[in-house]
Amino acid sequence: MAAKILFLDDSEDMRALMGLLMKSKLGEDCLALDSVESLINHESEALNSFLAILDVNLGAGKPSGLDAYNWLKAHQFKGKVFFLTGHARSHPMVVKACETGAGVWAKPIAADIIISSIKKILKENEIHG
Amino acid sequence: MNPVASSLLSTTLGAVFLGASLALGLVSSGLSIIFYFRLKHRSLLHFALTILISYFVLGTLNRDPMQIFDVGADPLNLRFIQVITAAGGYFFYRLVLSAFPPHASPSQLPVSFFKGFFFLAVFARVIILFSMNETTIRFASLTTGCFELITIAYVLSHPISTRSMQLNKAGCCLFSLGLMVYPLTRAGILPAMPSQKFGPLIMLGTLSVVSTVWLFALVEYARERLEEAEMASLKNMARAFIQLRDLMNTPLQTIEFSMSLLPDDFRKDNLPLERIDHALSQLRSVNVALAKFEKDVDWEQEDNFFDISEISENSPEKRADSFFNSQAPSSHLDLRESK
Repeated sequence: MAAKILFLDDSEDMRALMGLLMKSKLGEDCLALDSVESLINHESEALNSFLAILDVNLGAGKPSGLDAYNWLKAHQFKGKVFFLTGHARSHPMVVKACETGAGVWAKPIAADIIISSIKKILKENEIHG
Repeated sequence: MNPVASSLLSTTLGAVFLGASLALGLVSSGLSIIFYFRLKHRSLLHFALTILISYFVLGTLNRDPMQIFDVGADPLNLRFIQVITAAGGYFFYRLVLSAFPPHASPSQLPVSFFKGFFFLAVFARVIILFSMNETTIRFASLTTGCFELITIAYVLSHPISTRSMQLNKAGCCLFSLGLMVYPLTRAGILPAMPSQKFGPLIMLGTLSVVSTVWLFALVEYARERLEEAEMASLKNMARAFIQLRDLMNTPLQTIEFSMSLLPDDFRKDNLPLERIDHALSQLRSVNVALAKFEKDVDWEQEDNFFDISEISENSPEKRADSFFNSQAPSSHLDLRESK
């Protein structure tokens, strides 16, 4: 079964924990990727997901979560997109992320909030989809 | 002795005035040179040279500004004064340009206008060197007077931003006004009589006032630079705090996720876990407290105070790894030796 949740973060710990969290709390698989390059490599799987959670900064000098967002939009990604960032609200990259209209979650965010938000999105998708 | 100096030295008040004026000129130009070596702003050097040359020219002036028309008196000396005056004019021109650089403001007099009049005045001085007569001297004086007037207009139309610039503006305008007396008298625009009597005194008074104003401008400028440095260091500190906080957020999120993944029965009455939870909430409070520095951060700067890859390289785990790795070859060596 294809993963409903796409998670893009350069931290190995975060990817492992998000996968565990989605499985244990929601019973859902999570496609956890570390870079825009691997996102492109997993194109079909990524584009079929219902929800994308993108880390804004994917490492110095590397394509960012904003590049991932643009790539998803350019490839007609239908799902919801959220940015997850540890940067300040006034950081230029976060400002740009806010301008996309996608939701922005600031690290550290309580796991319960993420779980309930994802649960709501998946439920809406079930109703409408 | 110079007639201006000798007439001033004949009275106590005059001697005090001359001494105070020279002291002001030397102190302000000396401080400008010192500040120039520290702050590297060219206007400081140009001011010092302008003031020093102006005092020198004043020392060579005769009481009567009209006497310069007596070209037969000492033509070499007159030409020398012309060259020195032109050099003073050049440094004043550079001072105005460096202190009041061309601005995009539509209200400012075009810099080309200012430059054009300067080069016209210099051209007129060059003519004097080759053909010194009443007409060329009058023409040179007229162009110099016009240059001084244009300088006032240019400086006054410059949009000022700081207190030191305002003082500098006042100094430049006063300097131009005071120095206009001689050229305008020679050009026949001002009557000869008051200039003949008070010309050198007006010039000495002008130099004293300008030196005083410039001293205040220097103090203001130094204070502004200190404030700028203080602001820059505050911004750097704010950036360092925010970058550090941002680097902390992913590990904090990792702890947050890890805690939520622990089974409920494991969490129940687990004191160490409660302490971790408490520490986590304290770290969140630190995070919130650091948010107040966000408004002072200049995101235009690209360099980072903290490089996460560098921090990871220097982490205790990595240091331990590198220690054991560096020990490994020697342990092999020991084994071989023991054999």
